[in-house]
Amino acid sequence: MSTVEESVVSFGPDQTLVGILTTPSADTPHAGIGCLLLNTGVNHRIGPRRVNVKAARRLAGSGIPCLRFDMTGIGDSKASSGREDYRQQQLADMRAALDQFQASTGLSRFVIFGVCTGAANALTLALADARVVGVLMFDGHIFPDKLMRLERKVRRWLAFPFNASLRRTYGPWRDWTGWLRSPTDANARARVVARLRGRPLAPESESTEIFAAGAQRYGAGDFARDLQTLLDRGVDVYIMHSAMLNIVDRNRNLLAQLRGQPCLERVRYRFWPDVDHTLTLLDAQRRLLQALEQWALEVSTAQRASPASPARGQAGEPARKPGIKPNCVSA
Amino acid sequence: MNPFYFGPPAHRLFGVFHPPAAGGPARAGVVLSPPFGHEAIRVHRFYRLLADRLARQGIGVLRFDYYGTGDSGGLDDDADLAVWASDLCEAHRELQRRIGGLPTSWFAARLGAAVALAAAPQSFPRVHRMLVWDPVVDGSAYLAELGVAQVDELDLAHCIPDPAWRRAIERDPQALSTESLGFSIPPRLREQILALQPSVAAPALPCPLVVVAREDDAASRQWCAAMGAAHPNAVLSRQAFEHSLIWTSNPFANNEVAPASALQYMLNELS
Repeated sequence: MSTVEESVVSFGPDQTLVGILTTPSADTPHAGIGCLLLNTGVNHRIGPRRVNVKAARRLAGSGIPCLRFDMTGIGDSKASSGREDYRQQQLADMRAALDQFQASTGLSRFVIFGVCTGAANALTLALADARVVGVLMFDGHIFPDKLMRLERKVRRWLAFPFNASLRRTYGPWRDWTGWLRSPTDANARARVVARLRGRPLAPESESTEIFAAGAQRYGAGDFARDLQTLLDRGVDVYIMHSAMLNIVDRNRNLLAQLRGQPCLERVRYRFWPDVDHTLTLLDAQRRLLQALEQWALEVSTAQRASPASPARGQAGEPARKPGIKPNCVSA
Repeated sequence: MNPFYFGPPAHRLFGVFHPPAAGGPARAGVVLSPPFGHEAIRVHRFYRLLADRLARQGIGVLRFDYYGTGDSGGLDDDADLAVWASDLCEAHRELQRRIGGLPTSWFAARLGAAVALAAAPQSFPRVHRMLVWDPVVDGSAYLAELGVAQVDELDLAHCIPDPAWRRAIERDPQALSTESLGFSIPPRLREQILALQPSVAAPALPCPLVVVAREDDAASRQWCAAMGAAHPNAVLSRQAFEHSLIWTSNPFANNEVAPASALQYMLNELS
């Protein structure tokens, strides 16, 4: 990988959003597009497992500048002093990031990469801003059908007696066996009693419902409509899913509710049977980042063949002043 | 709050300087030394809030990432405790430069404590005081703990987890210790971590040390005894402190991102 440059940028209203701009070295041919890397949950801009840093350096090494930043209230960006709705604020932050990116690099076409909540935000931005020419969503929206959910349950039931690891992830099993192992342990007993009362002491899994605050119900039809909008605009849409929900994926199972919609056949789609949701294994990170780089370069090639220049954003707002604070580092 | 890069061009470090609030002169300084890997991500918010609150009390604070971590230059495979100790000294000098040479203390959590203990004798100007929180003093147990966390995470993140992962760490607690929760543990770092033992004292420190650890943390208790025996003149105190932060958890809503009691405790100790 060739040397890349990294610099701190502050932007947005009152310069309260913080990001790191990663740019190719002077001798690297530029690809003509930039990549915006989004927060995942409340993880700061380095991404889960520092994967955004690795992605930015890898893409910049291939001629694609990257901006990874913290949205309002996350990481090192300040909380908003305005009264905007949470989602409106996030969209405003992402558009400010594109404005900054454009002002810093002169680029006007961008691809977006988001994991989990970042994937949902990537879709929101792609719909709202015409500068977005590609969006890669890893473990974003899913719309499996009942058959797929049933298959998942059956697979887990069948594996349950023989797979101790699976049993450990099942809360009731953990609580009951914990009490049987230590019948005099007051905490273990309390957990079982709480189960019997129908009020378990600990959540079954990590809940991300906090991020759904203020969200309207978003169904398969909405998703299909949004995908179609992007495709009609010529946006390259890539949907990826990990093995969190099921170990196999046949005929785009995780989007089964969209079957019959023309958009489903037109998006890129990849299921990773051996990559987990949070990219825990280094090998999984490497393979995902390789796929990201390959896709971004393909988008770049396609954009070079397309003479039309996108508008600066559907709302037609002028880009803000750069407000860049250069502070370069060789990585 | 001022994010910036510092250090020589071939070894750039990322830092965030929190100047004293209200623009007045600082009355002291604190450098926050982060933990390793996922734990550093886990406490990012805690460190930011602690820095903000210390700054409100007139203290200049520098948070930073070691080389090969966070926003700093370098790769995962560059991880090296000796290099990180030099990084901490560099961050110390950077803060000193910004606050005019005022007494500067260090706060370090988990493996960051091992870095701080190694760096303290090299610090110039001399570090004023050190506060370490749940320090890693038993490297073997720490790697085993990371291995369990890694398997727990993999189990949760797969529809049908592979039982071989857990069997591997049950046979050998170090079996998966070449990486942890998405971060590489290169051989040199692994050796350095394994060299940390509760019976082995750190070099003599140039300043008072406060160890904050859970009441039942026998390893830190043993290590404090070893330090006292090796350095009879050392100014060392151990404080028992219980908290709800799970170092290896993801920063989701079901485990407090920055427990208020811990924040207040550290704030009281450092201000």
